Parts: sequence; C-alpha cells; structure tokens
Amino acid sequence: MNATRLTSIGALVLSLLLYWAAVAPGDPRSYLFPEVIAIAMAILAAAMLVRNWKPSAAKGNAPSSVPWSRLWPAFVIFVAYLLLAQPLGFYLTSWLAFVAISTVYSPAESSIIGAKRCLPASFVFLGILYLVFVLLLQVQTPRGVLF
Amino acid sequence: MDFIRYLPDALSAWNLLILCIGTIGGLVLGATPGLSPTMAVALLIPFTFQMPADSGLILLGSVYTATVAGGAVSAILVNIPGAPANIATVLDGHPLAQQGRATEALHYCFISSLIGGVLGVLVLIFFTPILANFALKFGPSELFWIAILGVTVIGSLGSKSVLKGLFAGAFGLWLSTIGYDPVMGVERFVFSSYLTGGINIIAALIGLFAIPQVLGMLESAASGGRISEMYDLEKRSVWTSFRYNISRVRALTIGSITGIIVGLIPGAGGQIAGLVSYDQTRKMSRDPSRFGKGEPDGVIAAESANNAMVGPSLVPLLTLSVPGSPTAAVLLGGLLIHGLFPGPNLFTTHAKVTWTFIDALLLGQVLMAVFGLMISRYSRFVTRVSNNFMAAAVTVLAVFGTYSVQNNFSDVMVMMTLGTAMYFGIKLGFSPAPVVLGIILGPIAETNFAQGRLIAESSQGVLPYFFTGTINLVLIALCVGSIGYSIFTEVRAARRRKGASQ
Repeated sequence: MNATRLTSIGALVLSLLLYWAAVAPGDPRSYLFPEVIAIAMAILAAAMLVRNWKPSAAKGNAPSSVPWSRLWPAFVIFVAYLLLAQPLGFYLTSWLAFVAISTVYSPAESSIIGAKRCLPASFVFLGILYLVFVLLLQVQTPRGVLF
Repeated sequence: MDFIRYLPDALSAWNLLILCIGTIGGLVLGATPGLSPTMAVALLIPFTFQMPADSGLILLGSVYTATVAGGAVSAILVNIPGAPANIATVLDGHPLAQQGRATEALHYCFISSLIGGVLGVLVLIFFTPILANFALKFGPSELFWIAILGVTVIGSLGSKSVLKGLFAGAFGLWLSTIGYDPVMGVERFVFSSYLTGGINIIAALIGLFAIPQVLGMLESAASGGRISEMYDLEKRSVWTSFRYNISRVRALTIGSITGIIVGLIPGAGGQIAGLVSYDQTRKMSRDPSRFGKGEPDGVIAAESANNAMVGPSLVPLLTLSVPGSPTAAVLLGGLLIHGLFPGPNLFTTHAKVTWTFIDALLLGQVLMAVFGLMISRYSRFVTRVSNNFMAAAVTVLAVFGTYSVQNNFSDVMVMMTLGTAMYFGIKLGFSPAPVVLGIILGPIAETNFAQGRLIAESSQGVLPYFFTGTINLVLIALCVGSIGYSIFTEVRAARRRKGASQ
C-alpha cells in the first residue's frame, strides 16, 4: 500500500478516534463543538482517501521519507532533555543538549574537533540565556540537584 | 488622524530602542538560512511578556518586517532564501552577485523593501479603521464564520493540498478544545496531567514552527558544505543605487500593488507576493529574456512586493482576527496573550497600543532600510553559521521560551510533542500554519458557536441563525470560494503535470 493512501487511512482513523473521544463522555452540551469538528475531519479524511486511491492522483504532494538514520540521535537527545531537565536543572541539561546536538551533527570529520568548536559556543550561548532569562526576565527555572 | 496623535508614543526612547533591537535582530535572523520569520516571531513572543503591550507588539512587528527584508541577504549572496518570501529574490539577486554586483543587489533589495513597506503600512493605517467599524455589525454567528473563514483560507490557500490543509486546520480547532470548555467550564480530553490547563497558544506556536525546522536543519547538518560559493561585495554608492531604483517605476509599482493585494488576501503570504510580482514584471518587461540572468527589476519587484505585503497582512488580522500570512497568525497569538482581541475595540479601548504599534511599523520600515544598508555587509557572516549550532540554539531557546510563559514544564512537554508530531505531519504533506490558526481561533469559534446557539434556540432556530443574513452568507461564500479556488488550482496543476509527463 502506498504512503499517500496510508496517510489518508491514518487521518481517517485519527478523526474517528477523536469523534469517539468526543461522544464517549456523554455530555452533549460541552462536547458538541469537538464532535462537529471530528465529523468534519472524518469527511475530509474520507475525501483524501477517495482522491488518493489511485497512486498517480497525489503525485504533487506525496509524502517524503524520514531520514531515521540521521535523526535518531536527535530524538534521543530530545527525550533525554525532557526527562532530565527537572531532576538535573534547566541550565545544566540545556548545556548538555546544546553540546550533544552541535557535536553529534557537527560537519567536522573528527568528533573531538567538533566538540572543541562546540564547547566555547555552548558556554557563550548559555551565558546569554542566563543573563536574559534570569537577570532580565527573572524567570525561575527548575534548578534540580545541580545548577 | 489617530496615527499622528500617537506618533510621539512610538517615538519614545524605550519604544525606539525596542524598534532598533527588533529591526537589527530581525535583519540578522532573516539573513540566517533556516530561520523563517514565522519561527523568529514565535520564539520571541515569550520575551514580550514582561514588556508593556505596545512595546511587545513593536518588537514582534519590527522583527516580522526586518526578517522578510533580511532574508534577501542570503538569497543574494549564497543563493539560499533566508525566508520563503525571498524565493523570487534569488532568481535575479544571486546572478547579480555572480556578476560582481552583490552590493548593488543588496541596495535595490533594501530600497525597494522601504518603498513597498511604507506603501503597505499606509494601506494598514487607512484601511484598518474602516474595516474595524464594519466589524461592529458582527454578532456571534458572524464571528463564528469569521473564525471558520480564517482556518479555511489558511488551510486551502496556504497549503499545497486543499484537503490536507483543511484537515490540519480542523485538527487545530479540535486541539483547542483540550482543557476547560470556555462556556460550561467542563474539563475535556485531559488524557494526561500535562494537558490539564489545555494547550497553551505560545507552546503550540513555538513547537509547531520551531521543532520541525530544527529537525529539518539536522537532516542536512552533518553533511556540512551547505554554502558552496560566497561572493564578495563591491564598493558602490547608495545614492547611485537609490536614483536607479526609484527610476524603475514599473517594477516598483507592480511589486507594491501585488504585495498589497496579496497581503490583504488572508492566508496568502510573502512567498506568493514575491513570485507573482516577479512573474508580472517579467511579462510586462520589454525584454523578458534578461530575467533570471541578473536583471535588477527582478530584485526590485520581488522585494517591494514581499515587504508591501507585511502591512496589509495585518488589516484582516487587526479587524477580523483573520491573518493575512502565517507570521501574522503568530502575531495574533502575540495580541491575544497581551489581552488584545482583534476588532473595533482595538481602535477605541486599546487605541494607544494599536496606533503606537502601527506607527512603529511605519518607522520600522525606514529603520529596516537604514540598518539593512549599513549591516548587510556584515550580516553575510551570519550565513556561515552551521546548521548544527543553529539547531542546538533554537532547541534550547524553544524550551526556555516555552517554559518562561507560565513557569510550567507541562508547556515544554506539549511544545516538544506537538513539534515532533508536526515534523512527521510535514513529511506527510500537512502544514503547521492551519494547525496553529485552528488552535488560536478555536476558542473564538467555539464561544461564538455556543452563544449563537443560545440566542438561536430562543428565537429563529440554529440553522436559520447561522445560515441567513447578508454578512453570514458573504462569509460562507468566501469560505466556499477559497476552497473552490484552491481545488481549481490544484486540479489545473495536476493536469499540467499529467500533460508534461505524457
């Protein structure tokens, strides 16, 4: 089954799930608007499915592939960033995330060279963020066990 | 003349400082490939919380204006448009740089942006109050249709696929219903503790626009070597360029008028303005064959159009809550978080804030040209910043910006989740702008839908209330018309592709 058709089926399944979520609680007054929206989404998804049934029909806006081999480190960094930000502290995890992203995705041939370039930039960037958010905007960020 | 009355407020030392910072920052951000004006404005919204409403809006407005113009720097020097609005600038701007005329191209870019931008803001000044007074006639049914029109227009005209655009818009409307029901106060769809307060508009804006761009940058980051050629800047007098630029009346007129018209059409945006004006200028030229090979008129038309679009794109936004471009949709979020609701009240109750903002936009056009001409020589260095640093900086800034809105980590989780999901959505052909607009306009649509139902049940009935009346019918016709037009252009493009492949 081609990706375009799968996208349409996925959209239809999502709209039916959202419709179910809107009718399940059983309070018609509060849920009427999301219910109507979910029905509209289902109609649009069904129209997409009909239109994309022929593989040639959706050539102009066909789905493109996700380069998983390049992006999996980014997803791991994102998840780790979110999980560690509160227990370790915002600034430390942000610094780690900055260094990790800029080193892993550095165009430099050696990771040591990449890290050497990334470290000064990470200190400058986090320093500016600290000045802006803590001193200027007075935002209280989670400190965690570390800074 | 309210805009003259509030001019001193725009000229106050603090607002001028904000305007200068926003303009210079916007030029640098615009010159950076990969950072779109929409994302730049979305990332800046949290910084405006601590400011007075007028200063916050001035910062966002000046960044909007300057990023569009700044995007031409990388378009001309490295053949990469800094923003989608600068795609048409590449066509003749980069060939000019290849011929050793990069400074000349940059001069035309900023001078044309100034002329187009000033004309655009004048349209904003004179048209907006008229349309705002007209909006006084709107009741719940009309306001409901206005919200639906906003989502429909962005979904259909602003997306590659009408069905996917409308689906994305409807999904945004559904997302806006998470949290407390605005009328009954009932908690809905709180599947996780992170969703207790609903989806914060700023978290959604930052996530939907910034995270997909971060992942997009990382796709190409490790390969490096993004910029193959960088052209040096020759010495040239601004005055020489200015005299030539204003003598190109045809290109400036076509560019400015096209930009103004496209800006007034909700959902169209600077990319369409630039490309349409470039195409029209080429067609009306005595020698169209010169275009694409370094014709100054190409740069002049494209740049005057994309900046002329900025002011008019705020006309439907400030009067009817219908943004004229995706960046204007983000500005709508900025207005709402400062407690300013589009409509006639903006020009009565909040006249000081609104007119100070509009006056500052006018001043911003002049500053954009002055600073642009001064710093474009140096801003080319920004184009050398690697994607890995850019992506790392945007990720961290997105997390800090989102957290600072309510000091709530749930917003960060929502931002990251929505952003990552949107990346996959973009890969499947969906656009973030309709989702964002759905989230912003959802509460307006739902509140007016509920109020309209209450009124209708005690009078003529729900269907007649929502589907009769001149304004309702015009708005419904506009919804249907925008969808019909988009379907027509999509079918025509498909036929052309089919014809070309045969």
